[in-house]
Order: sequence, then C-alpha cells, then structure tokens
Amino acid sequence: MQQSIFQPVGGMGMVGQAFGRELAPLIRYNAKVIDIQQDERGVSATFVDTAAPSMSRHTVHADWCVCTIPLSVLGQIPMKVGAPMAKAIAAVPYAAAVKVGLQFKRRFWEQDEQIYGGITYTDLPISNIGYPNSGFFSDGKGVLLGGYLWGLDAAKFTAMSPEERVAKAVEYGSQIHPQYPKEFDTGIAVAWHRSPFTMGCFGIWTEEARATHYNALCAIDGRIVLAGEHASYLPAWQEGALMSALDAIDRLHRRALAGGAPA
Amino acid sequence: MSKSPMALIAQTVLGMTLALAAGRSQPAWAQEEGVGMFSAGKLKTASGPEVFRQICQGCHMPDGKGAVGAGRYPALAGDASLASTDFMAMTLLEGRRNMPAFGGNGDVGLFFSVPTLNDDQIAAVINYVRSSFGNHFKGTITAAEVKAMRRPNNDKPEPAH
Repeated sequence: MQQSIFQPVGGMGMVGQAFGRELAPLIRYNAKVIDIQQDERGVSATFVDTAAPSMSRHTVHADWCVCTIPLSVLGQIPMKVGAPMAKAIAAVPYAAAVKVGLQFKRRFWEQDEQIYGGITYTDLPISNIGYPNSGFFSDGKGVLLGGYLWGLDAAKFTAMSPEERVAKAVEYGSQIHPQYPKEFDTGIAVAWHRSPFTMGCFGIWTEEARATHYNALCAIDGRIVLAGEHASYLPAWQEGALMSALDAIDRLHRRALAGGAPA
Repeated sequence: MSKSPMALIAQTVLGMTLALAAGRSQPAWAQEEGVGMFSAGKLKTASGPEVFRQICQGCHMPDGKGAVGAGRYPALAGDASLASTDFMAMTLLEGRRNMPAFGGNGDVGLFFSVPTLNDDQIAAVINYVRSSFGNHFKGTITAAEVKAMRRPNNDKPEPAH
C-alpha cells in the first residue's frame, strides 16, 4: 500500500519559485556563465548579461564556488578543474522528457467520470494523464497533464513542433477520454532538450559511469564543488538536487573551516 | 473544501480505476500504429531522413543549423567534422558529452529505455546528414562499416570524451 503523497499548493514548481522569492536579493538573472577559473585564493566566474543590449561581460569573485549548472551546459564552459572532474562532466548524457499541458473547456473528468486527482497510466506514447489535485468541483476551464513522455517517445515529441506535440497528445488522449476533441481549448508542450538552460531533462548515470566518474564529479576540486540532481543518486528529481546541495555545502563548509585543507 | 482528505484519496483511487478501465476498452496499439508512433525503444524504420526527423532534429533542429542557449547544439550544416564518417559513427554509437549513445541496447538501468539505432539506421542517417542541409561531403558509410566500429561490449559503451 502506497503512503499518501502530498504536493505543494500550486504544484512542484512552487518549490523553485519559493527559493526565488526568499533568495531574491542574492540572485542575478540573465547571467550566462562563459568561463570559470580558480586559484589557491578563490574562484572567478565570467558571465554575459544577456538582458543588456550590449551583452556586457562581467566577472565576479568569491572564496568558494558551488556550481549547479547542468552538466549538459557546464561541459561546454571553459572551467579550471582537474582531469577527473572534467572527464566526469563529459561522461553524462542527458535524457529526453516531454510534458504536455492541455486546457479543456470544462472539468469533464470530474463531471463525467468522477475522477478527482490522481494519474491514469497508459502504454500509449503519452505515458500518463495527470488530473489536477486541487480546485475540485470548480466550474469553467481545467488543465490536465496530457502527457509525460520518456525515452524514444520523448525524443520523437521533442523533434516535433510545439503545435504538433499538443495535437498528438490530444489524439492519443482521445483514446482514453472521448471528450477530448469536443472539450479541448488550448495546450502547451515542454521538451526539456529545448530548454535553453538545461538542454535535456536529467543526467543519465549508468552503473558503469557511476563506478568510473561519480566520485570525481562530486569531489571538491580546489575551491569548486558541483551540486544538482546530476550529483545525486536520485537523478531527475528535486529531492536529488536538494540532497546534493545539502551534501555539497556541508562538505564545503568543513573544508573552509579547515582552512582549505581536505577535512 | 468540505470533503475530508481521506474521502478525496478514496475518490482519487476510484477515479484511476475507472480511467484505466476506459483505456482498456480501446485497442491502443492498433490505433497507435495508425499515427506513426511506436512505444518500443527502437525505431522501426531504417530511412535516414526519417531517423533525422524523428530524433536528431529535436536538438540539431529541422534545418540542421543547431541552436544556442546557455550552451549550444552544434550545427550539422557545414560542420567540417562531418568530413569523417568514422567520427559521426562513433558519436552515434557511443554518444558525445551530453548527447546520448544510440548504439547500446537501450537499457540504462532506468524505468524507460533510451532510443537505439541499428547499423543500417546509423549508416543511413550519417549518409543523409552528410548530403543534406547544404552539405556535400564525399563518400558514404555502410552498415557493415558501422558494425565493425562497435565495441565487443557495446551493450554498455563507455562515453566518448
């Protein structure tokens, strides 16, 4: 029997938004990192301000660096780290995933089918349909997760135009909910490989790659430590990213207290 | 909201059961074939253009010109690296940095399989890309030549560096 599962009001995206709100004064947006250097005294990161018309370059300095850039992007940024970490960064390919949000004119799944939240699993390429776990019994429009695709299906949907992805999700979903064609209002599709900030959904760690590269990826290299789902045993999930961050800052804190020597 | 949490959970489970029952009344696979999609980890076509349109263009873009964001997807149009069919075959078989390998058996120890291509498909898409998007690279590669480049343990390729 599965335990009850809860989600933040508004969905899992609210976790990231809360971090953004609480840390607002510390975050610099539109900063595209193009170079990361370090020496015995500190770390320098150079970035382009992509919001500035001049695309001006800036360099910031710090004693230590916790770098959370996905490996798909980090692997293309010049970075002064040792060969073991550099090889580890280059050893992790990124998996495809696609989500499709479908807006319908009414919450027919509640009104016609008595479905209140939860998930329908299917062997169709859309993989599953997620029903909203809030706003039950409300009138007016409603939004479903119309597909959450992995593997080859995700690759194929990534290769489609956004409009095609939505149309296909409606087509497949109609096999489960005949109300789809009549009630469909509009939709949106996200393919993680088309996300400019991640270039993929998450890092694929095979057992072999983990045995060879994982420790080197997670080790503190001079004054730089990496964190994120890619530096965890829970790839793809927010939980993995958070656990990785806690682990990284704990180790970095002990290193800093030891005056930079291995703790 | 007047309903208790337990009542809502019970309704959710009931809703899932009903939805699954509705799904079973449809011959999902038969209908799926009709729209050209396949759930298996392998593509069923060996056509180079089809492989490109269904997989490669997801990152390298339909015009083969790549894309730039926080990082970049390299353009295939006019990329001098494509002069080497061996470079392309190795990249497809074993992956390159964030680009996944397509030469394995699809099993990466996750709850889904990653896409794989056979020797015919790898040769076909290489030959297609080298003669498309304004490219006019000389020569072609055969499926047998691709096969010869597979490592003995190619079920579990080491990522290329």
